[in-house]
Amino acid sequence: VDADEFEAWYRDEYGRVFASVLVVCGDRSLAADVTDEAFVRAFERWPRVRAMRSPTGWTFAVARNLVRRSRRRAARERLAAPAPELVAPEIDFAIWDAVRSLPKRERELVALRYVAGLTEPEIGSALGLAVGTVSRGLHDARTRLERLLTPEKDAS
Amino acid sequence: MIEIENALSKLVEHAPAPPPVARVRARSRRRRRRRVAASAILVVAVGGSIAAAYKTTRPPSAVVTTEPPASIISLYGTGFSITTPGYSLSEPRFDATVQTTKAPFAGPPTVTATTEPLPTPIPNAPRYQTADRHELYAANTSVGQPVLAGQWDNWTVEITVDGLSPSQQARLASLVRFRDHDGYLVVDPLAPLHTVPATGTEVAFDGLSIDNSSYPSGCPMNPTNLRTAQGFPVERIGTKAIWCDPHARARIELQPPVPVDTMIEQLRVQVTRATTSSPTTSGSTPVSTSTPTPNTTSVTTVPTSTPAPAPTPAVTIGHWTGREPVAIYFSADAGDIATNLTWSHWSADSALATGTWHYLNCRPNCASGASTPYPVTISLSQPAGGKFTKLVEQTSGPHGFTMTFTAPQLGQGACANQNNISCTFS
Repeated sequence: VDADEFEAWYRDEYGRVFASVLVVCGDRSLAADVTDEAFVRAFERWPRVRAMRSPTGWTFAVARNLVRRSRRRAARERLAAPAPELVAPEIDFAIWDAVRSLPKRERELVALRYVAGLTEPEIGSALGLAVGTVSRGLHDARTRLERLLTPEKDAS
Repeated sequence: MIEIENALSKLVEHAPAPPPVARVRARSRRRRRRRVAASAILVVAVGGSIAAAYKTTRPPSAVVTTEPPASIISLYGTGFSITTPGYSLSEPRFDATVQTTKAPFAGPPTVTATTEPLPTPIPNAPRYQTADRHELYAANTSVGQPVLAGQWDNWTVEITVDGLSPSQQARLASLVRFRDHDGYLVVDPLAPLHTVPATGTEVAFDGLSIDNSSYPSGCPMNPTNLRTAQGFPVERIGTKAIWCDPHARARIELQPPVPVDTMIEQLRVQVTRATTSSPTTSGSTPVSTSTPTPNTTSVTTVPTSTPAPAPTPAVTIGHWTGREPVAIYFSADAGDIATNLTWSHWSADSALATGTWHYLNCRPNCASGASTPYPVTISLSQPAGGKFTKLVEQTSGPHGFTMTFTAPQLGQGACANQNNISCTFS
């Protein structure tokens, strides 16, 4: 039963976790790698993970940590970041650029809220934040995105 | 914002298909094999001092303690695997396993420490008291592996018990002590888990060996750019990683089955002097912050002309005569046995040990009844003719008692080492 349940959840959530990680890391190849690894770890701990408030949020948190780890290695090896237009060709570049320009924490919140579709309490649980902090962070992110994506009126 | 949400949702729609779940399973199996085999560290040695530590925010460390001029004594008996807490940390991590050369059980148990929630106990399964008076209970891991599980501060500890009988599980539980020290989980096996290897490599584990016989001539001649956490340059020969610790005058070899550079970069092995205090006091065990001291591993550096101190009294228990027995049989059957004795001191006028005493509930009969471990204290005093003549056994727990024995009958027998190899009885 556990195995079937994991498989169903895995198929449903893989895309959401992948896309959320992609928003955070901006690297499609890295996002695929760490998402795969995160689901392996979720599989190994499935009885515990399934009991969590948000298994998807937990998996995302694992993947996010793997991204950080990978980033440090990449920094040591001085690997070049992939070209932005190759990362998310399916969405408008201006939106992608705006989301990617958000501070890291806000980017994570946006990814979990609007890509993974988690509720604010679920996000708080996954990232170890109070719900109020999540709400405030999302509000700030929305404000920032609207400002970034609204054409500036020329003062003259 | 709607526009942004719609745009972001396209990322999900265009996400790659998940790999087959069979691949997840296969990858998990590979990870598990790597975790058991490729790991490293810990431990050892004389005077019962041993500490293996992993801190949530720092790399794992190993402490190797030696006591000049004595021979290096290596821990044996159990394997330790310390996995990092959860997966919520950003630091690189690896799993550490030490499998020593001699195991009292069929397979070395693996100790896993995490900050994840405790597993669900198996209903009606026995509970065992540990040497540090914590409790371990039977449970199954997420992959169905039988473990003993318990909680130490913020740490969830699981010990694999594949193939161990209930009495072996009770014995295993009675051996372990854990404690949180400055964010590390420190694993303190009790002192009797020791043996004295003959020659050659002084400390040998499955994958990690330390010796001073080849120092410094055997130090890396062609080091790579790889360095340990302590900054020692590493030479790679196949999967083997070799470096030298000039402070400890030790050559260290690590042989994981595959190159694991990240692990090596985080590995600390410290060779320090043993403390003379008892390891049964939790605060006395050295931890990874111990300062390395030079020349602690070389037996040959000890001046042979140093006059030997006057011998301390021995003790005769049954037909056994010696010092610092690790087990004492007070009754001819298994009704009253003190095991895992750790001697905090053995001086000219007294000696004191702590260990484990097993209470047998004899239900339905003594042969098949359950055994519950409790701490026991053994004190020796009143030396005469080079031997202690008085022994006091003080057991604890709800059925605890204090018994005083006087020479010539201090007990039925005793053992000099944990494997009961040299037990002698009346």
